[in-house]
Amino acid sequence: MTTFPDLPPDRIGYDFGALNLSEETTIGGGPIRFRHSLSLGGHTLALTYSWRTQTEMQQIRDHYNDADGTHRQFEVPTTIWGTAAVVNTDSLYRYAEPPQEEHLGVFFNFTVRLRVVDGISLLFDLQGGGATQSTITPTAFTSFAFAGNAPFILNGGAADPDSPAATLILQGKGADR
Amino acid sequence: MAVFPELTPSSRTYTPGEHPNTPLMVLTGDESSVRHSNGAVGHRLRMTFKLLTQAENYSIIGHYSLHGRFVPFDLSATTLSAAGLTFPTNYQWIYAGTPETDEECGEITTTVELELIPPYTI
Repeated sequence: MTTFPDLPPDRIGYDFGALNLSEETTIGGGPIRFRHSLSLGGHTLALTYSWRTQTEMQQIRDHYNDADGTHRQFEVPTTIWGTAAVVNTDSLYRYAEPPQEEHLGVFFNFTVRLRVVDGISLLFDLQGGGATQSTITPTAFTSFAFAGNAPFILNGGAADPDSPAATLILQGKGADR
Repeated sequence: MAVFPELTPSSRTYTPGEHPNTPLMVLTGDESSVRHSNGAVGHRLRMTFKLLTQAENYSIIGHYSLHGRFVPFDLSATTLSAAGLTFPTNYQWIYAGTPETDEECGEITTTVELELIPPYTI
């Protein structure tokens, strides 16, 4: 798996992917939707490069060939997305189509369209285990469900299990108290 | 469910819904129509947000990720400001498709299309 060349584009366009849904129409009402997983994928990412050198163009050509065209999946450097946080940094991509080249004498314009094949899992696991008070310095953290400063700590304190002061309930499957 | 982020769109396109019905041609040549519901469906609202900050765009991304076309939600007065639109009671919105974003030189433009659906209970 060869990572996509570290070439920040001049312009990016993307959509937000989709859930794995199926739908049934009704005669008198709206669509009935069935969700089959908690995974979001299929994002399309269009990268536009303008006035680039042949060396840069060749990197894209070589990578497209190494990826066996649209066959193999690969990772994309975070610099490609700039500051946008749309998919996970370790998401996997494929080429949606061959790169389009435009030759302008010495320079090249080219467009690459990628498709996310391994997008975002919307299932969050909270793992307690033998946790102790974290000594990690809080860092800015943003996810689809959380926003604030990591690490997130759930304080139990001396709460009475029969009359808890907190209202947050974590259901640990069939676990006993 | 969570209300759509309180952002005012740069432009809106609204397509009203219609009552589900089936037109029937009768022998006299007249056309009858059978209505299947008292409710109207298929309202569409397409909104374009220009010059978004990264945080504003991320609020749309996060909202879409947690709702998608599956979980219905409401729109705030901010999003519908100066629209003068009213909708049937208890109807909610879902995403008609995946939103699209264009980023160039730090300028972010995102387009969102929503569909209004009647309430139903599973």
